Amino acid sequence: MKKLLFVLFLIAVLAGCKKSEPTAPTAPRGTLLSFEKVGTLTIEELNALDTEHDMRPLMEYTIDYYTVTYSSIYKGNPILLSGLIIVPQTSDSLSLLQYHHGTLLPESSIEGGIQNAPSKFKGEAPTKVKSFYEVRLLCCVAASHGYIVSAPDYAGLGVSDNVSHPYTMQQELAENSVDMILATKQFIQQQNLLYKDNLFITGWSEGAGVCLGTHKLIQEEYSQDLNLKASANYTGPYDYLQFVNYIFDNPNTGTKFLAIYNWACYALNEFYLGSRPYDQIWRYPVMNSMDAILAPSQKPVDIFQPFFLQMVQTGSDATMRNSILANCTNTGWVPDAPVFFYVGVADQIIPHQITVDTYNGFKSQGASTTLYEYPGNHFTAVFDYFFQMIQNVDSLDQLP
Amino acid sequence: MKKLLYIILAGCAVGLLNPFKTVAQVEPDFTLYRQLAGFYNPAMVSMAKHSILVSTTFSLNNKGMYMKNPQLYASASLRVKKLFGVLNFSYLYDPYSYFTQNYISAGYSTMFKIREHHWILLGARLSLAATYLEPDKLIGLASNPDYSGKKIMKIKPDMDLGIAYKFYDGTLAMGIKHLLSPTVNSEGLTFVTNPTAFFILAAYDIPAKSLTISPSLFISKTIRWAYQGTLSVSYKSYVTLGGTLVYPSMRTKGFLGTRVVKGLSIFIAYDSGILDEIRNGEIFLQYVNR
Repeated sequence: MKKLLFVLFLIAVLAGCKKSEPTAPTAPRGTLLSFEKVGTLTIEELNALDTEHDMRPLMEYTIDYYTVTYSSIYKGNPILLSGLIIVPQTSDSLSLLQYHHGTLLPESSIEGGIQNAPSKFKGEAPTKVKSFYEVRLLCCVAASHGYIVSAPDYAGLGVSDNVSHPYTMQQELAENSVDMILATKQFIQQQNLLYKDNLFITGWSEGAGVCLGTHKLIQEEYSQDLNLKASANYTGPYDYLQFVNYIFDNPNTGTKFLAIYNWACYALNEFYLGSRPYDQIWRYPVMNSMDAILAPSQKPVDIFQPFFLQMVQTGSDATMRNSILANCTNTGWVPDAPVFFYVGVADQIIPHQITVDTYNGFKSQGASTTLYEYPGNHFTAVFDYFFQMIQNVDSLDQLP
Repeated sequence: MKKLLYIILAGCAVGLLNPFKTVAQVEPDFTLYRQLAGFYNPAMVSMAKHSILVSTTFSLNNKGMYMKNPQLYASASLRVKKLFGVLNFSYLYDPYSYFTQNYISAGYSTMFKIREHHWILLGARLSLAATYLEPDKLIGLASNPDYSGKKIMKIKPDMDLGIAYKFYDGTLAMGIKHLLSPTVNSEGLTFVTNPTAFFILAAYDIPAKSLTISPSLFISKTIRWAYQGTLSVSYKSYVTLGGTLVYPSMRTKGFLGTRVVKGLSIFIAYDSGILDEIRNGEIFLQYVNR
């Protein structure tokens, strides 16, 4: 009997164990809490890092880069988040360009994982092809071109990697994004940098969805504080219904990118559906985001419960449908500031039609919007987007 | 007899620990898969004169999306000389968020000596799967008047098969569960399916003075493949300590077992996610009369 009591006691002790979490900040959201200079890159050094593409034509200045932490919100509660700020070495008055990165898988041991969060950049040469791909080739280059560049990690990455990342949850991530902009403005003030008070935002893939969501949030709630000049969005899931229907409408069709759609469903469940029991969605145990990403099949019909698929297809699952619609950034508003869209017509991850329809929707409502279509796919059109985006932003930045 | 009564009572007590909630699984995922080898493979039930075991899983820390009641598994085996094998009777209580399954099973297992220290074991099990479905507990259907208050009870047959090869201190075994894949449909919607599942066990017990070191690998294919690698150490069969790593769900498991009195053993197990904070416990009791 003593042994039985002992084992029950052991279980009770183990049940009490809990992973440590960073202390939640008490400062108001959007407060810069710390910054640290990590390093400096000359044009030659940056050019040497950018082995995948010739970015030299855009580089003009040596850059300094800093990791920062700031206060934000997560599921309505305070959270400490991190990001990267890159500043060109020039005495000119500068504008701020915030870059929103694309999908980083929530595991540091795999390529394209969260070890590439912007705040973890140390100026090192890439050890793998995609190491800090967006930070090196896009963020640093934009800074070297003459913009103060801020790049939020988002919740679930960087200092907040103990929490679940709200993957493609565009409204939730937009809140983090706005707080990063507010924190960056404090950084600019503390560093006595000359600031034009022009704000541009851009992003790729998941980051494009966040970017458009941030545009909407700034217009609706921060227009007095932030002088947003334009947003530049490269292939994001703006119309979330169209995005998820890409798999739900074709459940018997295999897609090698089902993993990211499944992760998006996991996040949708956690952040919008109120954590519906997993057995009401999936046919296999999904305890964390990696379980969702490591989907056992490329066919939706193999991983989702048949009744769940049927209800989503018929629209009879009203809660699910309303949650999806609530995560759309293409409806319910008309942008005041210019919106640029960029997309590869052969995009194999986020259907190209989502960008086209979003563009047409805004255009028909009188928004100032421009669409650029390229022959490449989700990845190969990235430099077409980036060079065009810099050109678009430069032209607006030079306006009086 | 008192010991048997004690085990049954203890098992019932554990199963009724309602404050605990357990992780829902398409197939019960017992940490103590070697002790519960007969659950996954009817050839691997105890070949003792008679034996009885009770096991339960429960949650220690959970997210809302994984809440459910504890699973309970009980099994009794009896060697019958006239039948040249073992009869096994088992019961599984397996509740989910919108349905509960009760599996009542009867099986037969036998073993053939193919040469000294080499044995082949065969087993088959027939089950009745009683599924109690409550569609109005599905959040997606909560506002659908067609399902309001609706309860559905379906009883379907099912079958498991198993084979194992034992040599010296090693074991290779393969079990197939849910050959008939019982399914529950209603109003054109498919609510529950027990997909056919495969289980492979490879284990070896290496004697080293007073210790026995036992590496093992357990591979399962339900909806997806899962791999569990375990290393355990036993001291004179009195105490057993082991650890397991699970891929791809990235969980670590640990267990501790002891022989309370002759023939009676108790194990506790604990599993924890590397990528999440979900933690579960398991208690296993077994009495074996050789």
